[in-house]
Amino acid sequence: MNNNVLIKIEGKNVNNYIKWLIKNRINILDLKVISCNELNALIDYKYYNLLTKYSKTYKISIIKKYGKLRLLDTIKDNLIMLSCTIFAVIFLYWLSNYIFSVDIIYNDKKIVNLVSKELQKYDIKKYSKKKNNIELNNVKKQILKDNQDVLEWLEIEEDGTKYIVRLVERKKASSVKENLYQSIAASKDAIITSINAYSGEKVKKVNEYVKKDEVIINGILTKADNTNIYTKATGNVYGEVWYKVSIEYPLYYYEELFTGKSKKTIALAFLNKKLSLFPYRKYKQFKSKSYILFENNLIPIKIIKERIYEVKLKENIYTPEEAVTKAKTEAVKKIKDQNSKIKGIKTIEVINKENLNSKIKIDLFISVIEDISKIINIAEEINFNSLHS
Amino acid sequence: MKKIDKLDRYLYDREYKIIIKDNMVNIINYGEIIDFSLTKITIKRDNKLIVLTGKNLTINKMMDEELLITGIINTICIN
Repeated sequence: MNNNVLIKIEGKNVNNYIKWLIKNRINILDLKVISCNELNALIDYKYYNLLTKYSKTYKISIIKKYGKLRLLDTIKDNLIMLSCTIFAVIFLYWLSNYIFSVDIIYNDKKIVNLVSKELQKYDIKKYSKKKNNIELNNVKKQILKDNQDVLEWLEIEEDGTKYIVRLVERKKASSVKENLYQSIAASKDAIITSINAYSGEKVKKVNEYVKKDEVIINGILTKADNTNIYTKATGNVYGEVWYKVSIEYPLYYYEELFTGKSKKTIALAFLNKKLSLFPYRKYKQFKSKSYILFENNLIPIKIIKERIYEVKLKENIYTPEEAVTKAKTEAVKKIKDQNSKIKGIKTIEVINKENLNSKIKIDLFISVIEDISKIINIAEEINFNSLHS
Repeated sequence: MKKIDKLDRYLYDREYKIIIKDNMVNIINYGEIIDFSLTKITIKRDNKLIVLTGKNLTINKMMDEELLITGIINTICIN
């Protein structure tokens, strides 16, 4: 950065002054003779002191400064304002590291107070210092762990100098109401395969077809004199239920499983080829992700940063028959996962099969043995009868 | 020493030049200013004298190795 100054020289005969400048080999960047008594010259600041020392008969004054000198002058003139601005910025930044408000968004005061106390334990309160993300996550986990019977989910969001806490209360499962009197009916259409009645009257037999909601073990026992005895029927009923399932299965199966192992390396890429700068033991099967560190439009060479992940490939080509077998297994697995009451699979029949080039589509008819017990409360009947007797 | 001279010439421009433009003369590696006035400027370089005559001659720029003279230049003599 240059340090030039534009000076005005006033005196009797400026031409003599120019001769003096030439004699002393003072570099002049620009010279303008205004009149015989006045001239303006642009010189390096280092010569200015020399001029003022020895030019006693001439009056020298600075008109304008350039470069670093000008910058320093500007700073000096505005020193107070600049220093106040810098101080204000630093102060604001310092303040922004503190919490000024903690808002817990929930409609239950008890839960809000509980969470507020928990947060204060970990120094998350007004006028305390803000926490970083790792600390916040740890606080969240600890609060949820200590209050797992009350809190289902907790989130602490940072919004400037405010912490917004959102939560979800854990809803306790309502206890199962015990019935005084009950019957057991069919939950679905089925053919009964077995009935285990511990109490109550069996009104259906094995291998009998029942429709949904038909009573199988009755809690109302009728005496010879047509009076009713009410009891709590208990037991299990298993029946054969049928499902129709439609499933598509691919004939070519390809899966990439990441083992979790990875390596980082830096490589040179030239057109399609890569050359690693640091040798490493390669994985048998791998996938890579690369980021360009340096590239140039003129040279087809790039420096790239690569992350190499080890993968295990699972590849299978199935015949249509194999695909049908796999599809049947898959369908059974899905049915069992969706319905925990299924005890076993009785038969699987293929109703329809369609070959769609890369996959097959099959319709299956599956019959299963399933727990079809359904409890029906018979308490209302008793109240109705007693009111009208 | 020839090689050093070659290197020196390669790195630094020691060549003496006079560039004449409209109402100005630029002299590079000028040497020394002997005389200066509004109508005549005399410059010495090695054994040569360069005399510029004209009207309102001013030294517009004067650096260690470069000189710019402006004004109405009538003659330039190299002796």
